Amino acid sequence: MRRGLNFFILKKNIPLTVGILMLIMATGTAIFAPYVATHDPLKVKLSERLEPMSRNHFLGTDPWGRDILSRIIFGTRYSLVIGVVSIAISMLFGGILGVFGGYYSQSKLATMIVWITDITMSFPTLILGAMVAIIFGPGVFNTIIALAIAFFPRFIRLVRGTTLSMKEEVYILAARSVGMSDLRLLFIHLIPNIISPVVVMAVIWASDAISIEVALSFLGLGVSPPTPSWGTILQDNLSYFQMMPLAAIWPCLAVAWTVQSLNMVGDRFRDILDPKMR
Amino acid sequence: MKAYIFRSLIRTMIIMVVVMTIVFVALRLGPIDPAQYVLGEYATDETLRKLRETMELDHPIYVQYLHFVYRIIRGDFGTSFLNNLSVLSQLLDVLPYTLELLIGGILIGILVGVPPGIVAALKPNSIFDQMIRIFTLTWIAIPVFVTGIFLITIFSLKLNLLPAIGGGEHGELASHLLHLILPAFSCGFFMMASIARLIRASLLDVLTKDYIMTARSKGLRESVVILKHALRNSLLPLISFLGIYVNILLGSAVILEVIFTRPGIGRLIVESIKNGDFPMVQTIIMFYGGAVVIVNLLVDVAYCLVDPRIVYK
Repeated sequence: MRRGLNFFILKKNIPLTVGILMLIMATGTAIFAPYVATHDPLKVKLSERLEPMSRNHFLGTDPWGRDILSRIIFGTRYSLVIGVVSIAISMLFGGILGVFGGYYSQSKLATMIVWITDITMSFPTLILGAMVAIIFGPGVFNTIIALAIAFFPRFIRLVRGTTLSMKEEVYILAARSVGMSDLRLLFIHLIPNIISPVVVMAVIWASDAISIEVALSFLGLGVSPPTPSWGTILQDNLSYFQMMPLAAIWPCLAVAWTVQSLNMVGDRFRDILDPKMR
Repeated sequence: MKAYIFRSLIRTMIIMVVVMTIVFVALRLGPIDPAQYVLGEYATDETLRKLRETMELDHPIYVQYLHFVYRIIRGDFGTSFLNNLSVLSQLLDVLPYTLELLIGGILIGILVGVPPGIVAALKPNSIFDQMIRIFTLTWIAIPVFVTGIFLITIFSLKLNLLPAIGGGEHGELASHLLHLILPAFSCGFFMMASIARLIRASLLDVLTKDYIMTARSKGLRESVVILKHALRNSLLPLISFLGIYVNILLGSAVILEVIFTRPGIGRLIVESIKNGDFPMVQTIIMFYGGAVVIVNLLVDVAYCLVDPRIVYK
């Protein structure tokens, strides 16, 4: 069933196709950044600062004379990698805790897990990320950790909820009554069944993670300045906003593009998995 | 109901104590040295040590914590490391600005989001519905700061219509409202897409219910059926949505306040985080936790009032 379905879905579902194409373009830009970029994103040239759009600098230069387009292109690398890796880490650990919390829902450990998620979920994700970021300090790696921790409770709650409802299904009961061990049952029956909705949510949350990374870097709590992340580019250019408003809009467009593509893909896949949501 | 509220409040208190402890310990175990921030790079070891003494950072951590708890119980949230002013009064000074922004954003989100949702649900799959769907799909994911920067560029830089910086003159309503328009719209646009979508889904669901068919077969006018019977019931999910959304809105307020250089809780916490102002960070974090829990409690109560079928035990 699966093989024939995929292509059919793509052909009928325009937003999904558009989203995938946008995502492929963003990923391609990230992978081939050194070939696509026209200038060195870190090279400061104060004689060329705040230049408007020209043949040489397609999107102009920033207050330090660096080429904005090249910085945005390299920024794609940082933003995508930070977003995707942090969500992957979060999904892995949050998923494990969520499955155990849901499957052994009567145990003390499960109650504790619920408590921890409840507490952390009562803070805005941005504030949570900022809190962890100040404890670890700025930097690419630390931002990844901060985001992973900030998204951790969301995954626990999602996976726990799905596990709780899945646990009551007949086939789980059947497998248990045959005498299957808990661990085997979890890995053979339960996890394969909850993994696809979780991955779909992970795609949507990756877009959240990217916009929060941009926000953190913009506030000076994420990736530190010379590194070309969209947030740091925005911060650099926003100080000269009145002179060159466009310079601040380009990184925004890049964020909007990526976030939009991830959201479109995730959202459509959620609809496909769960036809009731339409 | 009363017992439910009471238990929730107790739970809130416990959560706050846990959060307070975690934040307190985490801040002090982290790499930040507030004394260094206040005095700058060229401070001598002697002055640093003295300042740490006045900040009470030289005691072992449990002693600091006991002092802190003792003061909190007496209602003293401490003074800021930076300017020695009371943390609580600084927080209360900027709180109205944040509340303005949140309420403005929610109102705009509802006013602009609900009507398209209704129209889309009444004529599903029409051209209008498709247009709304495309619009919500494009807008639902766009981060608030992107909308904010676009709005500033258009309305303040190009058209020169609205102010983009600050929160308005103190105590002047007109000036406050004028400064509120752009940030509130950035906040509201973000909600609008989700609200339109939510209302569409919930109204479509309600319209298939039996009591709608009964109302129609009684011969009621279609406008009465929609407005009085269907819409009121379809607004229920909106209440719980707002409860969930307060969290996201508080996060959005942080970045909007920085972009629009508005005074507010969000900008206060960002600045205190950057300056290593521990008492301020602790207090604001507690405020956030408390605000979200209390809003959720209010949502539960509101739900109960609006829908008498729901009973909390």
